[in-house]
Amino acid sequence: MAKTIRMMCMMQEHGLSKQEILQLEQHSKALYKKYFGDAYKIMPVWIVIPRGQAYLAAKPSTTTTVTIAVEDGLSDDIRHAYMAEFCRMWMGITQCHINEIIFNAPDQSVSENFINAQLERINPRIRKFTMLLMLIKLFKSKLTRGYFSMSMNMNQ
Amino acid sequence: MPLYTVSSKTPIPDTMKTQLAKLIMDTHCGVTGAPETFVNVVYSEGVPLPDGLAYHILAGVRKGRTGDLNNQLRNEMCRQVVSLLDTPAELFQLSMVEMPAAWIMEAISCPNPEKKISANGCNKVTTDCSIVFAALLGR
Repeated sequence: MAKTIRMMCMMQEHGLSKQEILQLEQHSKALYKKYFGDAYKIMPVWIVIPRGQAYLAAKPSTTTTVTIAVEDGLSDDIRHAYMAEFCRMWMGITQCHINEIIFNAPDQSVSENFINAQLERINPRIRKFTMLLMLIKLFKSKLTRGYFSMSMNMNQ
Repeated sequence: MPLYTVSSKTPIPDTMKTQLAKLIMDTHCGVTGAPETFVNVVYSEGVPLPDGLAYHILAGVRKGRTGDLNNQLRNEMCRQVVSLLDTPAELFQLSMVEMPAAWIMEAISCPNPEKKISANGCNKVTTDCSIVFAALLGR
């Protein structure tokens, strides 16, 4: 059974069209397969940052940040080749400026640490319930929009 | 990177968001010597934070700085943010996660503190990786 790898995309509200999102998902999956084989299944999740809630160099940001984990200990040669091709693919589809895509390809263990740190900011008493709500939001968006997405704001 | 995620239970006013983004950038760059260009700040509102907390910042920073420098960054960031938000220190928490610079591609460059540390302990911006990535991107 293929191992699921999360593709976390923090995008600006209205920053990408549905068509672009679906195209990016398709190409990202194909690229991961090209570099790392059939043993993985990419699961893209789009975290939408409402207008006015993202800053780069203290100015409103139009940047998308994408994180896709790779196997622990992957050599930098392969990692960098993958990262460069990913950014080229992304810029080709979105026509964004090179400053508008940040791509992280961390080791899986480091990526898990980062996700755990994000979850730890949630009150432990209702953490599981909050995660369940997040899952419901994700599946609802998949049904209505065709891709998994949720707001950066947890009360939306 | 760095990526600072500011979480709050209630919305932070827009003017405060702008001020806080600048404060975080100034503090980060002041302590580490990193360039302003790379400092990302995003806000996450309506977060059910642990009891007793009103604000939380998750700092995703580059690996390779010394423990002392990270502590200095953490302490200074806490001091400055608490002062700007005018909130008791116990209502604020900062967590830090480190990631190697070589795993991040942004604006075809990645200042790598693991490679260049100046005499005063602050990392200097290098263009080593930018040259590599520019070549990889065919630019």
